[in-house]
Amino acid sequence: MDVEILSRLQFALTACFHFLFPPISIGLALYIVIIEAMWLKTGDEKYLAAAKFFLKLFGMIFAVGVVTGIVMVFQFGTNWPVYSTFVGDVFGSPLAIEAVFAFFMESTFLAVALWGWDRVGKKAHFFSTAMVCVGSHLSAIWILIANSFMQTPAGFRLQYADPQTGITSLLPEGAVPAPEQIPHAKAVITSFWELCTNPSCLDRIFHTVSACWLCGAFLALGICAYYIIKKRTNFAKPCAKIALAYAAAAAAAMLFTGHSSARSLAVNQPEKLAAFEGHYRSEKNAPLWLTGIVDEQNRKVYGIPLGGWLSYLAFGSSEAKVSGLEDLPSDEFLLKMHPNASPEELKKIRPQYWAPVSFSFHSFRGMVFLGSAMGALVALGLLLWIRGKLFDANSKLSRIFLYCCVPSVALPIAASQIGWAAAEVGRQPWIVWHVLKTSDAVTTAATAGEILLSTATFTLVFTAISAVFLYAFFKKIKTGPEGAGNGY
Amino acid sequence: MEISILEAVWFALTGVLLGAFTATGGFDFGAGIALGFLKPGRQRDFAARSITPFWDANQVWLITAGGALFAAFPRAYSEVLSTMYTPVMLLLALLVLRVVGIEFYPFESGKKWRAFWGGVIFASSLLSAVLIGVALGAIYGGALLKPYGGFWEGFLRLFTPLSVCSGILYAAFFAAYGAAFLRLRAPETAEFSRVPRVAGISHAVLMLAFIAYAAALFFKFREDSQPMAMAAAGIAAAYICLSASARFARRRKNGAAFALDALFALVLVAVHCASAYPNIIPPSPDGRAMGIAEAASSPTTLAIMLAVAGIGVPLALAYNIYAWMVFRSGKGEY
Repeated sequence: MDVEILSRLQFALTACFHFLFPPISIGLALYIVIIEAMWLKTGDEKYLAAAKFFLKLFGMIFAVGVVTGIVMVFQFGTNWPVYSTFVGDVFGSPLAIEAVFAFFMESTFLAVALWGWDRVGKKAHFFSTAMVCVGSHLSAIWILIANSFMQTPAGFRLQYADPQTGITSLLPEGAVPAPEQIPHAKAVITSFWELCTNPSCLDRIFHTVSACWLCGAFLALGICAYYIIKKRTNFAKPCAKIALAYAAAAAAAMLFTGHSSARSLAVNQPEKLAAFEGHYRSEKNAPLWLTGIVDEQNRKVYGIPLGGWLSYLAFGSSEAKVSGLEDLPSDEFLLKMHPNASPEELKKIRPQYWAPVSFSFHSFRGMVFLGSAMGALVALGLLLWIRGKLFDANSKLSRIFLYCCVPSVALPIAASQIGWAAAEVGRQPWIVWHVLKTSDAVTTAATAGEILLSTATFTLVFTAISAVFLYAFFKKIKTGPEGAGNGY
Repeated sequence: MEISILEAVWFALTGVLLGAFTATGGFDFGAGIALGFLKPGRQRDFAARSITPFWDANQVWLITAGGALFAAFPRAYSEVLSTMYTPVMLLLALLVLRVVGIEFYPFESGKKWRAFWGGVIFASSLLSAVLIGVALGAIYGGALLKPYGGFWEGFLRLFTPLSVCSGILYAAFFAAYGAAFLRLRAPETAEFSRVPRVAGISHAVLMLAFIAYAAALFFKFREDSQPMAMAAAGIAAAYICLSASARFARRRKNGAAFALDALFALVLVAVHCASAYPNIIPPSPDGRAMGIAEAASSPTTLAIMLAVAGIGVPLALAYNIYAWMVFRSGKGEY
């Protein structure tokens, strides 16, 4: 295995492991703010007990999220130094801003929220919890600005310093530097505002934050359902209702943001959408595959099509023509990198610029299926609630609902993982869309052996952490709020 | 290349952020080291508990310094991290383990559980302190800008007399600083009498480490007048901090002793930065160096980032000060 594959694997490992935690903590933070607000409003002690309990869980999730995040900050430099040098002028600032504006807010106020119950007043405590929530949302926004720059780069020009003449000049807009130009080229910022509002950014922020809310809501709902089943704690029922309402709001937001993300994909990254849909040939009335298998060899999908739905969802009309992979990227774009290539040659070159179609197809579908399952569960819960049977021990449906809620904690987490994988794999072979290829951005310093060793080390460390974390997390839930003391 | 004012400001600011990490993270890493010299049971519990509300915010200074280096000096960020691949990865793994240790230590009260996680906190704090010191010493001593020669060479290049002394210095400093923090917060009872003793001994070790480091610095830079002059001035200032800290500690002015240790950390980082100027990565023996201007981002990015820092750093300080005020006394349960 070579340095590129290993670095990709390592980044996938650390990013996926890291991404298990922040979505839950971001979603849970907002939930805790609501619970604590209920306590302030009603003065009901059960909300206080719930807030204390959920904050403890939050602290554990947050801590693991933070340290695995540090690995990410430095990994751009260790494994992707060519990338870091190339885009540092543009990509570095959102990361630094995230640290300054979000991480300090989160970390300092979390300490007060977690350990300051007896040290500050009620309102100051609520303020601290709210700041943790604001900080965690800010961090999501800034990291998504950075990541969206990789998807739909904007607000920059490429600068090239000719090694022979030493003259620095701007490359024409839309230029793709050749591999031998990359060490002497870099992106320089032209508009910070355009960077922060790059075409995919808003959609991706809303979409990802909705996913975070779902993660937090389902975790709270699952835990409350467990306590209701076990007939424990006096906060389980009211808190489950809040969690259900929160999950419903998040699911509704998800429906809109998922749709608008797909629409912006059709405009900004048509190859990616085509890969998600296994859509090879450009056509009107393009189908959406409910499920299926991609035959990459023969460029075909076998499955259940919904005729015209892709055209309709992407462009609002089933008559709209959706470009297929066989026309993407365009000849014009390919000629930038392969000047003088004949149309026949372009046809052969084109698949190099496709993301792995089968993986994209299935992961996208996986995300949507999991999302639908969450939607169904929330709908069932709302139905029971309206009919006044949400916690009715005599209602079979209510019992089924509660039993489903417990394992469903995993649904939004799994959907986030698969969705993120789809978003990142769907971007390939680009590390910065239509500007820099991942294979050209990898380190030239470290050797394959070293990367293998560090990947193995992280695998080991992460496995150990997972084991301890799950043990502690489940034990904390089993012990419940009665044992919510701090352990010292 | 000419260094612009913006570039110089960012060079200084990145140094300030690194200094802020040394002056804050120093005490929580150090308390982790000192924990190893305290008796299992209430003493160790106290040490682990003392840093619980602080470690996270302290660590954010390191992330911020890394982010600032990335944004303001992408070329230096890439060079430093990619050529120190394995040591950096090791440091990251240690940082992860340390936080996991702090987080899970109090989870169960069994002796074995606490001995294990206490050991994790101690070992990861100590090793990361040494690694941070060695890495800074290696960058500072110009061991970096060589063609990369694979795993062992990549690791061994870090170990020069200066960087080894630097590693020992950072470990000793963190330990003494952490112990001073614990002394500040420990109840003055017989049960915790070991805390001031650990603080005293680690401070004496720090003095020795400091002298060895100063000697290594002298041998390294004796032919180069600019770093030498900076280093000499800095070493004198740092020495004054340390001896004053020891004097205050003897008079049980623990707050002042702690503050002077913090100042020592800032002086130490300032010496590194000032004597590296106008380079961001000082020259290696073959004369290759990376200049500040060569590594810097465009003026637009530096200006935007300066505005960000102008608003963000005071805010960050305000949050930190608020949290310190809330947790200023170690009395009572957290």
